[in-house]
Amino acid sequence: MKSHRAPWYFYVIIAVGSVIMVFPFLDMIFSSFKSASEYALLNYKLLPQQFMFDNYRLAVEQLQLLLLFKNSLIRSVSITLLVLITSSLAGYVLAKLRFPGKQVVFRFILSTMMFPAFLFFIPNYFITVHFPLVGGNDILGQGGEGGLAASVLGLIVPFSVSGFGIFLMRQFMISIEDAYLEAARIDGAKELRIFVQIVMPMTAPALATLAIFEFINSWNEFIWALLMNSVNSNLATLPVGIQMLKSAIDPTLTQPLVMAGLVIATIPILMLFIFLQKYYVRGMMNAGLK
Amino acid sequence: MRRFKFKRETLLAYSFLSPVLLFYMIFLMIPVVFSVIISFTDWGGFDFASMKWVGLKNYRSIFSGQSSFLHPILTNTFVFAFGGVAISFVAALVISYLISRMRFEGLWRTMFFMPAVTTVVAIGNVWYYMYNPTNGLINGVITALGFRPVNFLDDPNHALLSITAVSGWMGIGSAVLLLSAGLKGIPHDYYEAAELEGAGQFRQYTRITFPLLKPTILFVLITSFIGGLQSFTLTMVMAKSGGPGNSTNVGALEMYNQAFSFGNWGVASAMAFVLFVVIFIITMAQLLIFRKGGVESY
Amino acid sequence: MKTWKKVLSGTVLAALAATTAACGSGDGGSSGKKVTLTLLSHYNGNNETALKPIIEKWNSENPDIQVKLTPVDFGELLKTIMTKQSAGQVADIMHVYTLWGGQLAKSNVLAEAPQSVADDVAQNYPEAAVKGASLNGKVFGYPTEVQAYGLFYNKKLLKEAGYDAPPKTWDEMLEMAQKIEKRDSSGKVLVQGFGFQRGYAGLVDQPFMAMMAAAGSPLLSDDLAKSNLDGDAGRKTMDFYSKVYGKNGITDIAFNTTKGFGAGQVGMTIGAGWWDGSLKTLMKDAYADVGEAPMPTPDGGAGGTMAYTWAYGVNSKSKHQEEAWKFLQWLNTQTDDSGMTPEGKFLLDTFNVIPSRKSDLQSAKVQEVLQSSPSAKLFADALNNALDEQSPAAGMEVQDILYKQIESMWTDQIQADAALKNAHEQIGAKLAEK
Repeated sequence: MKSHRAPWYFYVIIAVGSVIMVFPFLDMIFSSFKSASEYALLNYKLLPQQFMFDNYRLAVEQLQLLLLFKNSLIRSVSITLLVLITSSLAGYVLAKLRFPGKQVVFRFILSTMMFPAFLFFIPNYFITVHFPLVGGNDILGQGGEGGLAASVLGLIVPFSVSGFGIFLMRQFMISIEDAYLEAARIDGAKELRIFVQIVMPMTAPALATLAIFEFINSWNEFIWALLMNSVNSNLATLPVGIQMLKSAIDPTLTQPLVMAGLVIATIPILMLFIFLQKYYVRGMMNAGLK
Repeated sequence: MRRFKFKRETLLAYSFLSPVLLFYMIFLMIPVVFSVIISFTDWGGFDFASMKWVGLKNYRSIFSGQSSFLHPILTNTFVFAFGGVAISFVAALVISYLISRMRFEGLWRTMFFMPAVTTVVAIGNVWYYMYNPTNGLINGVITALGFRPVNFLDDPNHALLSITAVSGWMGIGSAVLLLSAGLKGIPHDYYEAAELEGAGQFRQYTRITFPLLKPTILFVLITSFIGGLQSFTLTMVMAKSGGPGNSTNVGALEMYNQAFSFGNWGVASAMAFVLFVVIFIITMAQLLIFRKGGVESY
Repeated sequence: MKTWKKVLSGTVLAALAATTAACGSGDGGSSGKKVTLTLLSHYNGNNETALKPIIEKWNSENPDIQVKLTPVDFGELLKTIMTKQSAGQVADIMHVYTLWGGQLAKSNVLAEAPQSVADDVAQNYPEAAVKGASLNGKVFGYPTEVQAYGLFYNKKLLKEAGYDAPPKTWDEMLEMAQKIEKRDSSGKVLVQGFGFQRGYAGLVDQPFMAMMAAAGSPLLSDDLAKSNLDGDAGRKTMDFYSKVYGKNGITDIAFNTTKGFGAGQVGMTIGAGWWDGSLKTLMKDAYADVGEAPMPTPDGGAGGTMAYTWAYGVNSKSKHQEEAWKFLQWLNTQTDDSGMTPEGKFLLDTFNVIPSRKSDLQSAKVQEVLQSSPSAKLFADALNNALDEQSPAAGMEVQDILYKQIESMWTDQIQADAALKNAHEQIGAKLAEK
């Protein structure tokens, strides 16, 4: 039904487009096998003269790859869980409960999405590194050794709530029939039980979408992680660690390692996405429809 | 009884909301106030004792003739945002329509979405090498075709557009996704009816698809334009502090460098506010235009 | 209500656990006598690999004072020092580039050196190094890398163009460059005659200052209050810069001089002494073609160059300053059987750079290198008539202004005289501000 509508030139255009999309990734993979002297050559070749698997060994050695992976993973998993929890709690309240101030809260959360992130960048940095009662800080945030930035919390806490997540969950929960909830209430179920046992399972598709979205975004986030890494080098994530490997003084020497590092950081998340894209796309398209 | 239940519901609502509200208190409300204060001071981010109140000095220096903030930095910011949106939007408009009528729609969509799930550090570095005038992929193709190589990132006439193009390339996937969703919302019988009347592909597109897709189109345009105005990671990865000269420098990057490279937190905060006001005005203007254009829901 | 409590207590416990874990990792070392010092340096990658054994040696000999090396790329180091300082996550020992001295002094980051260290430094290092490791006339630490700028050239390419010796004057340099330069039919550069390295502010500005020094003037006035760019040396240098790239340039800015030199495709460029070691690693056999010479001067007469300094200092907010100085004393002054300090050995082995400390200089090994390696001798001698890199409080901003003006000129956005005027005025305004 669909296919016979598409003339051949549709396929040509899309094929060309796909090449433009995919080629940089291929170039990245092939470049990661080139030797440093090959980067100095004057002509471009897609394929390396010889495959230097050594780049990968060196990248793993110099990158402290285990630490970077661990940080990236802890960060992404924690942010995802926190956002899922906070978004579904707030989304449920805004979709299904009646209480004074509801409109104000909803408007407020919508408006948070309009604020550009850089506006909070400087003060949030200051707040994070002087956060009270963590990282050795006293109640006024003084005398400490980095507040939240003393531990991986510095990478997580400032991202634990997402206005978009709340909005997405609210939109999804509005479509849940009130009758289900009323029936449960008449049976005497407590609100928290209703939330955990009835609402949450029904919102699984939206949760899956949000989870993939948050996981990928926090895996890839760079600027904040870069700043946290300056404060505490134990907090380097994959993108930061790789960018730091790139030497400002002597870039030629480190170029192959950077490419190898990029492949290591990029391919797992691409595979994950390709594997899960069905859930992601479906959820995003539903959100887009509303 | 009823009143009791009402109060209980309120209590429940606010206890469910408490983590979110607490978060916004700490990481949004306090920061905004804090930011306003910093923007009127000379401060390097160390102890509060070293904070000096300087009134409007930071704002005045931003708007002074010596400053490069308004031009070229703010101009660049607009070119970057507008160019990126234009590229990704036009491409996505075509692509989403084509793939919606093709086999393997999901496969194509995934292909175009790949950059959106890749860290900007990877994208920036890979394109940086691809743009290389002596041994990069793109100039490899250009010279193979017999043309002179182009200094994409070293020539100030090309550098900003080169980075903007990458930003547009990155944004295609998300725009395709949203537009695909919009296309799915258009009932199939419309097209069938049009086909019966003998309307071709192009006519079908201009008469049916485009008008019905308008709300989605406006949504994509507004969100990606605002996103483009604030983004600076790509510029940072590809051009460090926005060179050559200031030719690729954008507002948020200048703010970042003022604060963390030079220790001028006051000037940086003032820049953040100026940029925020600009973005706010643009957003409001766009909303207004949408209302007039008959789109109520956004 | 039971579920509520479970969730709540669970959350609180998790938060507590996270907090204590945070504290635990935050100040590991304050328990008991054992102290862990963090050392922040820009020696990453291969340089880190070379520095590590030295620190490991100290660590095994001094179980109570452990030193942990934190390498940060040069481009990020100042930002890292500043952010760490404002966060209270201070590094005990810092390897700093002395251009940052003014900014660091303004924020009171560096501790004053104890009298014994100050005396030792004053007695055992050349003047440019002592100046580099001082702020407001007071020594703050041990100078390490003191690097002078000079001319790097490719003997083979010079010979092919008919030259047996490197240029002495700036005009010769330009003339020779045009002869060496080779392009293909499309105009693409195959061999670059003379090029400046590019990429970050220091890489463009420092050769500029070195050329100004060769023409007889530092970039700023001695009291750091004014720019000297409008003087004769400044004008000549900017004029030379405008003749390298851009529409009046002899070569193409798109050609990467750093890469090209390593690949044997650049005739001449200006570089600092450390680059020699890097080229040796990169070029292998082709390194035999690399030649080095003192900075050419405008008229071929005697002239100077510019030297920049790195130095080890201790953080004024460190809780273990005494231990930190102990380690630095060992690193910089303790000689082994060969008569060399650990730092001296590191500099010699890693960069083929002659250490500036007198005892290192007198050691048999260094003397031997001075005999056998002309490049090491050249850059060591250059220090004798080198101006130090000036470090006003707005040092980084001054560098940034000059860098952006030069780049704008090279890319034909502005003319040379406008670049000079802008840089002179903006630097002057910046200096007056602080």
